[in-house]
Amino acid sequence: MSFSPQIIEHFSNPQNVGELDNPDVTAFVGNPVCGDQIHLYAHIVDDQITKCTFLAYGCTASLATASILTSAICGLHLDAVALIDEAKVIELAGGFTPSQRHCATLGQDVLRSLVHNYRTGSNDGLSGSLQTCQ
Amino acid sequence: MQHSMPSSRRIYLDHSATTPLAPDVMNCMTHHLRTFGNPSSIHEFGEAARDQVELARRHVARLLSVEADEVIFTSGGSESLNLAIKGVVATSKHRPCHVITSQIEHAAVLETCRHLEAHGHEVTYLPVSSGGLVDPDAVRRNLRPHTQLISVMHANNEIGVIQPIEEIGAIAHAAGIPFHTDAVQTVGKRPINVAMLPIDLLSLTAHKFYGPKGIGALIVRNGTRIQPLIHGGSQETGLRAGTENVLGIIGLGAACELAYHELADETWQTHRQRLRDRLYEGIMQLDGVQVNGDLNHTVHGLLNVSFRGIKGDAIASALAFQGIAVSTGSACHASERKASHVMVALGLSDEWRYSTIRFSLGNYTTADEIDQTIAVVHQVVNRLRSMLPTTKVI
Repeated sequence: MSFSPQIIEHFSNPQNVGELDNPDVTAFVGNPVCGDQIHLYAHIVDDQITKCTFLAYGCTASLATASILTSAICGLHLDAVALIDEAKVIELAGGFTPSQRHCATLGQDVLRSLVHNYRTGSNDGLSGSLQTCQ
Repeated sequence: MQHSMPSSRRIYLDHSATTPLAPDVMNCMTHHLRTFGNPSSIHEFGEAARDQVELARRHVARLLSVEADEVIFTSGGSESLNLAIKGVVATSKHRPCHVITSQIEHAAVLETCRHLEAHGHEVTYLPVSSGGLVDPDAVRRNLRPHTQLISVMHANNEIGVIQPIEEIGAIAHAAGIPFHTDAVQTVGKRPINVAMLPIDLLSLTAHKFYGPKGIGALIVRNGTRIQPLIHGGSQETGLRAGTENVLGIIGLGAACELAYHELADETWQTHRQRLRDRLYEGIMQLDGVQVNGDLNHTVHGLLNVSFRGIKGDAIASALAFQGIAVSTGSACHASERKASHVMVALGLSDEWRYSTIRFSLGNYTTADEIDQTIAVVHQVVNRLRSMLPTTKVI
């Protein structure tokens, strides 16, 4: 199993781990097949992410992806976050092997969920929907 | 951002996957790099190679207490296992015939058995206890009039549990059925006196006990009926056609010779066991840890552990990034979450079956390496658990 330097770095030294106090929005995506999950917590001011943290369960690449995304979106406007697709997640992670590709979907979906939840005033909690990564 | 790689530490705890060449074995092989003759040739070049092949055969035979002509060289464990199973079934007058094996065999046995099933034969895959042991009575209960072979591994490659092969072999012999054991994980690591055991066929491979890769052997006790898989030459008494892998055979012989002397000195076995116990005690200080397989029946030096809440892949990677090499039994893909068939057979719940790590120690593992490993495991497990959602749904 090979990993990009970004994945090794963020997996070994994860950034922004933990829950935020009084988050403005939360998001949760899980893959019911492989079991991987990412929970995001964010503070948002004027549609701009001022802080984002995560908790996650999963494989090496999933955990690293969560850390990479929280670092990447801090300071971004929600419109820019909404534009982060699978290809961008792959770029941010420095590339995935075929068996790691599901992390791109997981990453894209959790960011879209974050934006959607904030704009609709909803949050993914315990009953957050599980989305299937294909 | 500080980069934690690369680590200058290099601790190898994956000896059940493969072992490094022992210096004695390497020296022996290096010495014979120019021994290029074909052992089947009648001239002196051939004779020189033939002498080395036969010397190696005697070394294998001495290690296992069999006759030299009962040693058939192969390309390794998988070929030996295929030859044993398909080769015995091919001699059967029954169509279909029946084979008994266990659910926790190596894939080379399980896939070979599935191949037989695809060709109309019948296979019984015996379950194991929660500790990983095959019940000999289950073997007896599953005998059929057309049972042609019983194949149960000596020690499992993931959990190291040693099976009651003496009892199972005795049941097989009482029923007039040949008994094969996959001893890939035990040859060279513990004494095996085949002459004193009810074993007709035994598979081994050199690279699990400090020999080279690509070479192994099948022990075929005299009188055992078996057909070759590879045709086209009279090598290996017609059971394995093809010019011999002379250098590999020399390496296998040297590894067997080394093991013969080391096994005579119990220090080596107690060394691995003492370090395994040290590792066990250190790891069990963590919460949410479970040992897989009955520790009272495992090969020396192997410890299979599950860490609740963490994927095995993540722990193995975290250790690898810190220079510690171990194995995990599970694989992660978006389209499937595949647990080890051994963990499934043990009856492990989802909570445990995807979080397994195998530590396998070797002759040259040190106490300091074990202490470093314990410290890193604690650090890694605590770090990974700190990321865990409190509402984890798996």
